[in-house]
Amino acid sequence: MTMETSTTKSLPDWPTLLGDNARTGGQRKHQTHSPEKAIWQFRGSAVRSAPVLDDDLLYVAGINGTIYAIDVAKGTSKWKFAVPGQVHSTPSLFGNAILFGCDDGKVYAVDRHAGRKLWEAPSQGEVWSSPVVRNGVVFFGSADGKLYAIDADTGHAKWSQELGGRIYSTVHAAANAVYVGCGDGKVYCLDAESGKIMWSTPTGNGIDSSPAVADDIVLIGSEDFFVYALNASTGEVRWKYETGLGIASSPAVAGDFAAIGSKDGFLYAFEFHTGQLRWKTAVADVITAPPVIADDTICIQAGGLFALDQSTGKMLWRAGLGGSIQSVPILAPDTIYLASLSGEIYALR
Amino acid sequence: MDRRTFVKAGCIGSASLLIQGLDPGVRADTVPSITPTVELRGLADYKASPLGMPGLFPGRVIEARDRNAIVRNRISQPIVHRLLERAMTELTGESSARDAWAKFIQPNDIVGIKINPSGAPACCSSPEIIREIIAAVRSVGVPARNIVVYDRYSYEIDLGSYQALLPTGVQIVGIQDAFTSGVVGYEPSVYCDANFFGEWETRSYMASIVAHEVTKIINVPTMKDHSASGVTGALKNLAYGTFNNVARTHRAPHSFTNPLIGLMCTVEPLRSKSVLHIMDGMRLVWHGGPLTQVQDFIEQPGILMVGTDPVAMDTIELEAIEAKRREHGAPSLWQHDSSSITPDSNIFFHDATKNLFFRQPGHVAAAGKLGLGVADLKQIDHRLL
Repeated sequence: MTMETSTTKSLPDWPTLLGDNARTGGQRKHQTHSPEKAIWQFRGSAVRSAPVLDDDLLYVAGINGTIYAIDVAKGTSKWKFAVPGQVHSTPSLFGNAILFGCDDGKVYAVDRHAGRKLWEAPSQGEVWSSPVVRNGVVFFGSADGKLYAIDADTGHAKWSQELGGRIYSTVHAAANAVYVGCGDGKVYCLDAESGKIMWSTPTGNGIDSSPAVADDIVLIGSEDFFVYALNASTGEVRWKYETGLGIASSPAVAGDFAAIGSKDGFLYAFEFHTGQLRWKTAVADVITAPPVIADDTICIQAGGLFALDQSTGKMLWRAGLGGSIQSVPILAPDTIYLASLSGEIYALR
Repeated sequence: MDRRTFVKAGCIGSASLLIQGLDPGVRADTVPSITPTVELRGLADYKASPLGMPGLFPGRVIEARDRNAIVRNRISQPIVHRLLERAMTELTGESSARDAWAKFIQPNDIVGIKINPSGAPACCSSPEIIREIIAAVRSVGVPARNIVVYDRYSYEIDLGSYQALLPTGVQIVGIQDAFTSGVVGYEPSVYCDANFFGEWETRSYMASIVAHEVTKIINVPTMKDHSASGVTGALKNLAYGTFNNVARTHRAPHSFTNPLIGLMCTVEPLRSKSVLHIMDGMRLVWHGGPLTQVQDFIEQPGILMVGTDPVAMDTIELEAIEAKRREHGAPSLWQHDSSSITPDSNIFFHDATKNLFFRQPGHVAAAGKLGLGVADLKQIDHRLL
């Protein structure tokens, strides 16, 4: 008989980039409106990644290695935590920890209320992907070409698996399998328990995009210009759609709606199950960030913040703030939080 | 005595080079009347290398071309591999690609690959070509960890997705973030000092990675026009990608890219370490460079040029872009007509008759006069494969 000693296995998972397929950062879908004013502005360091929000604290990872916990009521820093490398990784939240990767090759877990380190886990290359959590296990890919599984309580290694290239894609962790894109151009499915490669499906170029997984479909973009929908059990291509340039953006999915940006500057919306194009809208010169799906609205950062009608793709409003190529806004019930490459963090209402 | 005068006084009697009144090669009515003094300071006691520009093969440019190397914006890795091998053996006269590369790179080198991600994703140094260069460098015994792919701005490298697309083990370095300032990442003793428009900071410092870390540089420019310098090729990719604080040399409609681009390329150790230039002409931008994303002005000729002489290479590039502009009825890069100038970058990006600056393509010939290579087309050994 074995005793369950983990304290984290009963906690809610954070299984994919920004917590869920809609990329809400744990905020769930709800209505969002055109903001009228900034209620505060916080000056940090340049930010590439997306902020995350919980318990009235906004967590922002600066490229310079400073993690800020910002009190959203005041717009002031509650604590700061510095790591010895640059940070490009979007943080994840799990229990009382904020998890993020660093260019020093480590993933850090920091107490998100006190701002002190809980543990760190090493790899041999920079970690730009987000660490995700499922069933008490943290999964992350590294530029060293390996995918790692570590214990969420301790940071101790469970397994690692070498893939064929750099890994900048964030894992999607399902119940028994994990899915990830790789710089070698393949989409991989690994057994979550052992790390054994179950299948891999090649695309025509490297993969920077992070997958969304639902209804036995893995959706991901490739630098070969295509969006791929793969059978999650076998890796077989169910449908694919060609955009005008490479895809670094990650898909957002809600029900039968899926959206992804392309470096050709368009945001594309599909029927998730069939791949039928619903609409495509020219948003900016280039899109590399993932979109976030709100209720009837889809938002994306592409040198500014853009909001489109989910059903038609019509541009609803835009805000010339948040100059960023990778960040994602947090759409809270009454406020939009926005990070920028210039280091400004905005709360818009 | 102000701060800068004090610093300059401290330089007198050292290895600094003062160049005054260098012929900018442009009409007097299109530039401010006073050509500034440019003070150059190289790395102290650095011994110049015979591999330095114009390198082992002055005046020789190998142009390999295959229409199928790029189809609908997708580059063929196998074709690029073949083009590069053929071009390198033709350049060096060696029978094998490995022996060709060994003329420039030794196993103990720290090899910098200077990409041009500016303009990504529409036109930047292709990751497919960088992969081939990395493989070739490794073939002569350089471990992956001693290969550094670099450029000035991290966010532009990010836009090109180089981090995800290049092999494991190699380092990928952005010298500075988009909004950082100061001289972090730059060597304060190596600089170009000139006051072009009354700017407060008159110095541009050399990147530390060039001054101290890499021992050889493989330069991978793209084939583009440039709103200020006329073209951005081998010379400009090295100069303005190595020194900081360079945007100050343009103030619309004027630009001092000539003579500064060539002058910067003479500064040691940049000159000595830059042993090979591989121009990515998979795409050719004939208007809107360096940042355009407008596909109307981007052609896909599938060209790869190889040489050690950046002046000869840029001369060929300049001719090709001029020819393409003529073909499309666009004004010459040499045209200095005030009516063509617009302050509106959106107009510039969509109208090939407009420009933001009086372009300075004369920077290529000026670099030739500095001894960096051959600018006379008749003297260039231009071999087509």
